[in-house]
Amino acid sequence: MEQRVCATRRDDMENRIAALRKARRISQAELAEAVAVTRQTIISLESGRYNASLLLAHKIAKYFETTIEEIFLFEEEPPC
Amino acid sequence: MLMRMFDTSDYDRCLRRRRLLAFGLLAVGIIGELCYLLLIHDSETFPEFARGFYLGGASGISLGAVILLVRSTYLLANPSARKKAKIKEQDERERAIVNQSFQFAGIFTFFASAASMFVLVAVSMEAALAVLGVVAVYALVWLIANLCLSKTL
Repeated sequence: MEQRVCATRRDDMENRIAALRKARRISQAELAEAVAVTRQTIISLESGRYNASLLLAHKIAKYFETTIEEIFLFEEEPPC
Repeated sequence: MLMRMFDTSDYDRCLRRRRLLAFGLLAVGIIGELCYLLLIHDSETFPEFARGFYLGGASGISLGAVILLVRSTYLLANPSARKKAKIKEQDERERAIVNQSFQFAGIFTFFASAASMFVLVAVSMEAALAVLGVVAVYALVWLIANLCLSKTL
Protein backbone atom coordinates (compact mmCIF):
# COMPACT_ATOMS: atom_id res chain seq x y z
CA MET A 1 0.00 0.00 0.00
CA GLU A 2 1.39 3.34 -1.01
CA GLN A 3 1.96 5.59 1.91
CA ARG A 4 2.15 9.32 1.26
CA VAL A 5 4.48 11.22 3.51
CA CYS A 6 3.90 14.94 3.43
CA ALA A 7 5.50 17.25 5.96
CA THR A 8 4.64 20.55 4.36
CA ARG A 9 2.14 21.64 1.79
CA ARG A 10 3.73 22.39 -1.54
CA ASP A 11 2.42 25.06 -3.82
CA ASP A 12 3.51 24.89 -7.44
CA MET A 13 3.35 27.57 -10.06
CA GLU A 14 3.58 26.82 -13.72
CA ASN A 15 3.48 29.26 -16.58
CA ARG A 16 2.78 29.37 -20.28
CA ILE A 17 5.30 32.07 -21.17
CA ALA A 18 7.37 29.86 -23.48
CA ALA A 19 4.27 28.57 -25.31
CA LEU A 20 2.82 32.06 -25.78
CA ARG A 21 6.16 33.45 -26.85
CA LYS A 22 6.75 30.70 -29.41
CA ALA A 23 3.20 31.01 -30.75
CA ARG A 24 3.86 34.68 -31.44
CA ARG A 25 7.41 34.07 -32.68
CA ILE A 26 8.96 36.36 -30.14
CA SER A 27 12.50 35.79 -28.92
CA GLN A 28 13.42 35.70 -25.24
CA ALA A 29 15.49 38.85 -25.73
CA GLU A 30 12.53 40.70 -27.27
CA LEU A 31 10.21 39.70 -24.44
CA ALA A 32 12.87 40.61 -21.89
CA GLU A 33 13.30 44.06 -23.39
CA ALA A 34 9.53 44.63 -23.56
CA VAL A 35 9.00 43.88 -19.87
CA ALA A 36 12.32 45.46 -18.76
CA VAL A 37 14.07 42.42 -17.35
CA THR A 38 17.18 40.50 -18.39
CA ARG A 39 17.00 37.57 -20.80
CA GLN A 40 18.25 35.34 -18.01
CA THR A 41 15.12 36.18 -16.00
CA ILE A 42 12.91 35.05 -18.90
CA ILE A 43 14.93 31.82 -19.15
CA SER A 44 14.50 31.22 -15.40
CA LEU A 45 10.78 31.98 -15.58
CA GLU A 46 10.24 29.63 -18.50
CA SER A 47 12.16 26.83 -16.85
CA GLY A 48 10.22 27.32 -13.61
CA ARG A 49 13.28 28.07 -11.50
CA TYR A 50 12.02 31.54 -10.63
CA ASN A 51 8.53 32.85 -9.88
CA ALA A 52 7.66 36.31 -11.16
CA SER A 53 6.53 39.07 -8.84
CA LEU A 54 2.99 40.39 -9.19
CA LEU A 55 4.33 43.45 -11.01
CA LEU A 56 6.29 41.40 -13.54
CA ALA A 57 3.39 38.97 -13.97
CA HIS A 58 1.17 41.95 -14.74
CA LYS A 59 3.66 43.31 -17.28
CA ILE A 60 3.94 39.94 -19.02
CA ALA A 61 0.17 39.51 -19.10
CA LYS A 62 -0.23 43.00 -20.52
CA TYR A 63 2.41 42.29 -23.16
CA PHE A 64 0.60 39.13 -24.30
CA GLU A 65 -2.76 40.96 -24.02
CA THR A 66 -4.22 38.42 -21.65
CA THR A 67 -4.76 37.92 -17.94
CA ILE A 68 -2.29 36.80 -15.29
CA GLU A 69 -4.37 33.66 -14.65
CA GLU A 70 -4.09 32.68 -18.31
CA ILE A 71 -0.30 32.71 -18.13
CA PHE A 72 0.50 31.72 -14.57
CA LEU A 73 -1.15 28.50 -13.53
CA PHE A 74 -1.29 28.02 -9.80
CA GLU A 75 -1.60 24.39 -8.83
CA GLU A 76 -2.38 23.90 -5.19
CA GLU A 77 -1.51 20.47 -3.84
CA PRO A 78 -4.16 19.25 -1.43
CA PRO A 79 -2.97 19.08 2.17
CA CYS A 80 -2.12 15.64 3.53
CA MET B 1 21.06 58.74 1.93
CA LEU B 2 23.10 55.61 1.17
CA MET B 3 19.97 53.59 0.38
CA ARG B 4 18.90 56.27 -2.11
CA MET B 5 22.08 55.55 -4.10
CA PHE B 6 20.62 52.15 -4.88
CA ASP B 7 17.02 53.29 -5.40
CA THR B 8 16.84 52.94 -9.15
CA SER B 9 13.21 54.03 -9.64
CA ASP B 10 14.55 57.26 -11.18
CA TYR B 11 17.75 55.92 -12.70
CA ASP B 12 19.12 59.22 -14.02
CA ARG B 13 18.81 60.81 -10.60
CA CYS B 14 20.32 57.70 -9.03
CA LEU B 15 23.36 58.00 -11.33
CA ARG B 16 23.79 61.69 -10.49
CA ARG B 17 23.64 60.83 -6.77
CA ARG B 18 26.25 58.12 -7.28
CA ARG B 19 28.48 60.62 -9.03
CA LEU B 20 28.19 62.93 -6.03
CA LEU B 21 29.00 59.99 -3.75
CA ALA B 22 32.03 59.23 -5.93
CA PHE B 23 33.31 62.80 -5.47
CA GLY B 24 32.83 62.45 -1.71
CA LEU B 25 34.65 59.12 -1.61
CA LEU B 26 37.44 60.52 -3.78
CA ALA B 27 37.88 63.38 -1.30
CA VAL B 28 38.06 60.86 1.59
CA GLY B 29 40.60 58.78 -0.33
CA ILE B 30 42.78 61.80 -1.15
CA ILE B 31 42.65 62.96 2.49
CA GLY B 32 43.71 59.47 3.58
CA GLU B 33 46.60 59.46 1.10
CA LEU B 34 47.67 62.95 2.22
CA CYS B 35 47.55 61.80 5.86
CA TYR B 36 49.74 58.86 4.92
CA LEU B 37 52.26 60.98 3.02
CA LEU B 38 52.44 63.91 5.45
CA LEU B 39 51.92 62.29 8.86
CA ILE B 40 52.39 58.54 8.76
CA HIS B 41 54.86 57.69 6.00
CA ASP B 42 58.02 58.63 7.95
CA SER B 43 56.58 58.23 11.43
CA GLU B 44 58.19 55.52 13.51
CA THR B 45 55.38 55.48 16.06
CA PHE B 46 53.11 53.61 13.65
CA PRO B 47 53.85 49.94 13.04
CA GLU B 48 54.44 48.70 9.49
CA PHE B 49 50.98 47.12 9.35
CA ALA B 50 49.22 50.39 10.31
CA ARG B 51 51.16 52.33 7.65
CA GLY B 52 50.24 49.76 5.02
CA PHE B 53 46.63 49.84 6.15
CA TYR B 54 46.43 53.63 5.70
CA LEU B 55 47.95 53.53 2.22
CA GLY B 56 45.96 50.48 1.11
CA GLY B 57 42.68 51.78 2.52
CA ALA B 58 43.06 55.27 1.05
CA SER B 59 44.16 53.93 -2.35
CA GLY B 60 41.27 51.44 -2.39
CA ILE B 61 38.71 54.14 -1.61
CA SER B 62 40.20 56.44 -4.29
CA LEU B 63 40.23 53.68 -6.90
CA GLY B 64 36.64 52.68 -6.10
CA ALA B 65 35.57 56.32 -6.30
CA VAL B 66 37.24 56.79 -9.70
CA ILE B 67 35.57 53.63 -11.06
CA LEU B 68 32.17 54.78 -9.74
CA LEU B 69 32.71 58.26 -11.17
CA VAL B 70 33.76 57.00 -14.61
CA ARG B 71 30.89 54.48 -14.80
CA SER B 72 28.22 56.97 -13.67
CA THR B 73 29.48 59.64 -16.06
CA TYR B 74 29.67 57.16 -18.95
CA LEU B 75 26.12 55.91 -18.31
CA LEU B 76 24.74 59.43 -18.03
CA ALA B 77 26.28 60.27 -21.41
CA ASN B 78 25.24 57.07 -23.24
CA PRO B 79 21.48 56.37 -23.41
CA SER B 80 21.78 52.84 -24.86
CA ALA B 81 24.34 51.75 -22.24
CA ARG B 82 22.20 53.42 -19.57
CA LYS B 83 19.13 51.48 -20.66
CA LYS B 84 21.01 48.17 -20.45
CA ALA B 85 22.48 49.03 -17.06
CA LYS B 86 19.07 50.13 -15.79
CA ILE B 87 17.44 46.84 -16.81
CA LYS B 88 20.31 44.90 -15.25
CA GLU B 89 20.04 46.83 -11.97
CA GLN B 90 16.24 46.84 -11.83
CA ASP B 91 15.83 43.20 -12.81
CA GLU B 92 13.89 41.53 -10.00
CA ARG B 93 15.69 38.19 -10.31
CA GLU B 94 19.08 39.92 -10.04
CA ARG B 95 17.82 41.76 -6.96
CA ALA B 96 16.52 38.53 -5.44
CA ILE B 97 19.93 36.93 -6.02
CA VAL B 98 21.72 39.88 -4.41
CA ASN B 99 19.31 39.95 -1.44
CA GLN B 100 19.54 36.21 -0.84
CA SER B 101 23.33 36.33 -1.13
CA PHE B 102 23.44 39.12 1.46
CA GLN B 103 21.09 37.12 3.67
CA PHE B 104 23.26 34.02 3.42
CA ALA B 105 26.50 35.96 3.94
CA GLY B 106 24.98 37.80 6.93
CA ILE B 107 23.78 34.63 8.64
CA PHE B 108 27.08 32.86 7.97
CA THR B 109 29.16 35.80 9.23
CA PHE B 110 27.03 36.16 12.34
CA PHE B 111 27.34 32.52 13.37
CA ALA B 112 31.00 32.24 12.28
CA SER B 113 31.82 35.33 14.38
CA ALA B 114 29.94 33.93 17.36
CA ALA B 115 31.77 30.60 17.04
CA SER B 116 35.16 32.29 16.57
CA MET B 117 34.82 34.03 19.93
CA PHE B 118 35.28 30.70 21.70
CA VAL B 119 38.76 30.54 20.17
CA LEU B 120 39.55 34.25 20.39
CA VAL B 121 38.82 34.50 24.14
CA ALA B 122 41.67 32.05 24.74
CA VAL B 123 44.06 33.78 22.30
CA SER B 124 43.41 37.52 22.51
CA MET B 125 40.90 39.33 24.69
CA GLU B 126 41.09 42.48 22.48
CA ALA B 127 40.29 40.52 19.34
CA ALA B 128 37.43 38.72 21.13
CA LEU B 129 35.97 42.06 22.26
CA ALA B 130 36.28 43.48 18.72
CA VAL B 131 34.38 40.50 17.28
CA LEU B 132 31.82 40.73 20.10
CA GLY B 133 31.33 44.39 19.19
CA VAL B 134 30.74 43.50 15.53
CA VAL B 135 28.22 40.79 16.49
CA ALA B 136 26.45 43.21 18.85
CA VAL B 137 26.26 45.94 16.18
CA TYR B 138 24.97 43.39 13.65
CA ALA B 139 22.24 42.26 16.07
CA LEU B 140 21.32 45.88 16.89
CA VAL B 141 21.13 46.92 13.22
CA TRP B 142 19.04 43.83 12.46
CA LEU B 143 16.64 44.71 15.28
CA ILE B 144 16.28 48.35 14.19
CA ALA B 145 15.82 47.35 10.54
CA ASN B 146 13.23 44.76 11.57
CA LEU B 147 11.28 47.32 13.61
CA CYS B 148 11.39 49.93 10.86
CA LEU B 149 10.38 47.47 8.13
CA SER B 150 7.56 46.10 10.31
CA LYS B 151 6.07 49.59 10.35
CA THR B 152 6.65 50.46 6.71
CA LEU B 153 5.76 47.18 4.96
